[in-house]
Amino acid sequence: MTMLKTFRGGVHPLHGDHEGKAQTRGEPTRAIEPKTVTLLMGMHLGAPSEPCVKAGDRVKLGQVVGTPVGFLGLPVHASVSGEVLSVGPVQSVSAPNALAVTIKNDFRDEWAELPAPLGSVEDCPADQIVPAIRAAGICGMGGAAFPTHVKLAVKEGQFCDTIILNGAECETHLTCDHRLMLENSDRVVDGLRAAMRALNVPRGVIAIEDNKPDAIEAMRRAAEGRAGVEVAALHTKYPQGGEKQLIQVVTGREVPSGKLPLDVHVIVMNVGTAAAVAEAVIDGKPLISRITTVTGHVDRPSNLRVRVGTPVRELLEACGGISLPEDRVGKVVMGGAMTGFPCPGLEVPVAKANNGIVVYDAKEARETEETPCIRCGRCVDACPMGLNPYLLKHLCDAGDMARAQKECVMDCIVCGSCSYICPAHRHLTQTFKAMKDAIAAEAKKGKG
Amino acid sequence: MDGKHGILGNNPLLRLGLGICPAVAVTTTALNGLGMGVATAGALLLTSFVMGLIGGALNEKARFAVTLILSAAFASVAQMVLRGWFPALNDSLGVFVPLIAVSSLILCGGSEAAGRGFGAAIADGLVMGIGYAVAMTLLGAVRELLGRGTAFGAAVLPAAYEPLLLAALPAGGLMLLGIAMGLYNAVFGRGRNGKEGA
Amino acid sequence: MKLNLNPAPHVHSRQDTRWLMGNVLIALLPCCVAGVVYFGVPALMLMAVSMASAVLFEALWQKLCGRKLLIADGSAAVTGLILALNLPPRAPWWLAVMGSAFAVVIVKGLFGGLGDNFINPAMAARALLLASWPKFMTAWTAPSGLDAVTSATPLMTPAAWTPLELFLGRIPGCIGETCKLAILAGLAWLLITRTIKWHIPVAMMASLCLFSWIFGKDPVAAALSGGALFGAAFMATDYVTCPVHPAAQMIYAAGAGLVAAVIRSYAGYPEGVTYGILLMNAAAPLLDKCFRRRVYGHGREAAK
Repeated sequence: MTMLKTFRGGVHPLHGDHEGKAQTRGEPTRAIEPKTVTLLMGMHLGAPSEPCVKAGDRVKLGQVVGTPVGFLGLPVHASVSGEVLSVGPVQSVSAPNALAVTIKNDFRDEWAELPAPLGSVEDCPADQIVPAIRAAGICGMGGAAFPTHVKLAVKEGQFCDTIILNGAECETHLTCDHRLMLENSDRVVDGLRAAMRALNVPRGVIAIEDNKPDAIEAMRRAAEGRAGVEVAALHTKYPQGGEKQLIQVVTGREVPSGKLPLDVHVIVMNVGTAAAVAEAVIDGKPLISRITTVTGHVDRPSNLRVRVGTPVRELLEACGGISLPEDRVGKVVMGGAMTGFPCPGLEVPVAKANNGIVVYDAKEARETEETPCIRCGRCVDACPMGLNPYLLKHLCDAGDMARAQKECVMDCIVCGSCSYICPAHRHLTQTFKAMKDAIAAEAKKGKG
Repeated sequence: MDGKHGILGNNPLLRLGLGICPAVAVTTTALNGLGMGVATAGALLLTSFVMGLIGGALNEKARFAVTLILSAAFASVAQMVLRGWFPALNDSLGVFVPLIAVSSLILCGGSEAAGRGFGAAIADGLVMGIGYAVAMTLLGAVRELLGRGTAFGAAVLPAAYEPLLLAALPAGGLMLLGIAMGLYNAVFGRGRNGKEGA
Repeated sequence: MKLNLNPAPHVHSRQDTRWLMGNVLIALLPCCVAGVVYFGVPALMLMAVSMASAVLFEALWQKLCGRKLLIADGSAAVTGLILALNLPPRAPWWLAVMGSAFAVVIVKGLFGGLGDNFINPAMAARALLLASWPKFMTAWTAPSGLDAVTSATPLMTPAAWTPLELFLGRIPGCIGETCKLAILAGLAWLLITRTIKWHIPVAMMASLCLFSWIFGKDPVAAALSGGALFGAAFMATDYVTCPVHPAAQMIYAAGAGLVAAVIRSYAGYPEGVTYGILLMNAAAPLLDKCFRRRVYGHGREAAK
């Protein structure tokens, strides 16, 4: 099979600054114990789960507190043991009234009764793996939070010949996947092998950007002697870890517009997701914690193993707090610099897919003002999808939905490369995202 | 082209864009502009007069053809008048005098006059013609001033003025016409949505 | 604590419009120095007047339109300087002022300001000046200190100069276009800083040489005389008025070279670079329509 060096387009954000990762890439993961956790019912893509506890109930670690709804649904598990304080709407990173269960931690970590583990990857029953993944509440941990059992659902007539583990971590600042691959290499490989076994896939590729030579080395060692598992070192360039770019680079295939990776016989999973799969299959443990990188203007930038639902405030406190006077704090972003979501407040809880918290000062966070487009074409060179962002922006500003669609606005992956590179600071990515949402809403209205 | 036309409001040249070809080609001096403008206005007035009389009796499809014949006839009249009394002007206007026959201003104004009453047709023709002639004269005056430093042939700018030759060329005429249209729309409001139009 | 909520991306490249324009100004510096060395203080005066008036007219225009003042982005300064470098060394000062006003107000401002003009402002201004005041725009002086000696340009008398003289620029011509060494230095700066890509200058020079040779002229002399190299390096590469896609850029530049060669060989003007670039400027949007990068997942059979 062909292996390309890299995809066409892309940018090098914070290139002179080690992609913003220098502060935390050498920091070993440490676990923190939250005082309370707020478990959002809608942590995954799909219908929010249904809470099955009420205020005052005592819950144990790993107990189901939210039951799945619909095909895309996932259960939510208590990430601490203790007393349920409330069940109701809270502020999440994207919504002011997201349904959540809040639990006060009693610091006893009493486990609930867990399903029996399936055993080692070599001799677990293959047909039980996907149900076990769903029961463990696992969704994609790289950002999009797509439920993993759905991703692994291969329909009649489809087949998968390659599973790619995404350890590229092309986003700036984040080092959680890097640390995971260094510290838990075997778990990552086990998770990959479990997924390969579940779908009878011959080839598994762990793709890592070449700015993490130690992680490449560690994964190579862990993969040694494991049939079908290989490690690929990729060029360091954003968005190398974009699903479509990764597939193109590793397999030479292109996902046709509007289709899924499985249509080109590939499944892409985050390395964190793979580790969670291993926990679920080998230990029967649900997804209750993850590694999150806390960096930027904090006293002690760290990689933290946090319980799902820990408020952002507790993460920052565990890192010595924000190292800026209050009036100079600009924004707190969940995720990396290219795609992260700005936090509306510090009580927002960490969800299963939150890979980082980055604190920016007021100067870094000041709003860039749009100036006239000078048609320099840098956005065209940067777009990893081959779009014409400068042209699309004119069409979107004019509200021309039909022509924007003709110019493939729906193929935009909202990676932020064009906005990053634009010398006129035009708000390209956010405009495209708004246009995509509007078109999707229109399509839904037409159908409904 | 509903509603009123006029010297200031809905100027045929500066807003409706009628009769642009001679406006670019022959308005190199104020006198040329005036001559061309008046000749066209006269032909328009006569066409409107006749169409006002007979237009009501005409089938709508026939109106355009009749207007064309009328404007061709009156263009010939204009040419004879110019040749007879203003031979120098006639020479400098050249082929654009016979071309009055296909002036978009007359074809448009004349065929429209048909549907209205006699009085309205005359009034419209008169006002549009004057508006066109005024615009042509002004454009000619500006081009003459910039391109030659004179006004109606008399030197008005100091001898040190180096004339902007471009203003006398058709390309400069087109640019100045565009700027004049922009200024006109800025001063009298945009006519397109009808509300702001004067 | 008030948290800012502006959306991703949260970092931006430091190369903003001002940085790009600054790079162009830096790249023009060698040409300015060469111009002053060869043609003396009057050349410097012309550059100063042209830049100052371009910036002033830009400011006045933006004020008049009630827009935000954007003169700090440097685009007007670049326009003014490029125009000055395209003037004969002894051109009167008011020529520079008129050119700047036309470039900034008519060509750029009336079409919507920076980014919306369809032809290069400095080029259009040069065309205006050439059409309006030809006697000032073709009054060439030999680069011999302060004594203005009227002479013919190398384009009219190609045999009078050696290639080395043409290359170093001790020849009559516009202020910025004579010293090819300085232009190449500026071009190198633009390429090294990745302000521009190589396609346009290379394609334009190649096409000019090729067609000059086909039309029976010395290709080396064609490349080294007149404003060809200056135009290819600094004017054809103007972002706003050139196509975006590399293939379109090559055709655009080749077209400009062809038109310039045709005008030089068969038309009434000795120099055709200006008109070549202006004509292809007008074709740029069309070329951009014809050449596109293939969108990922579209077109050719995506699954192999």
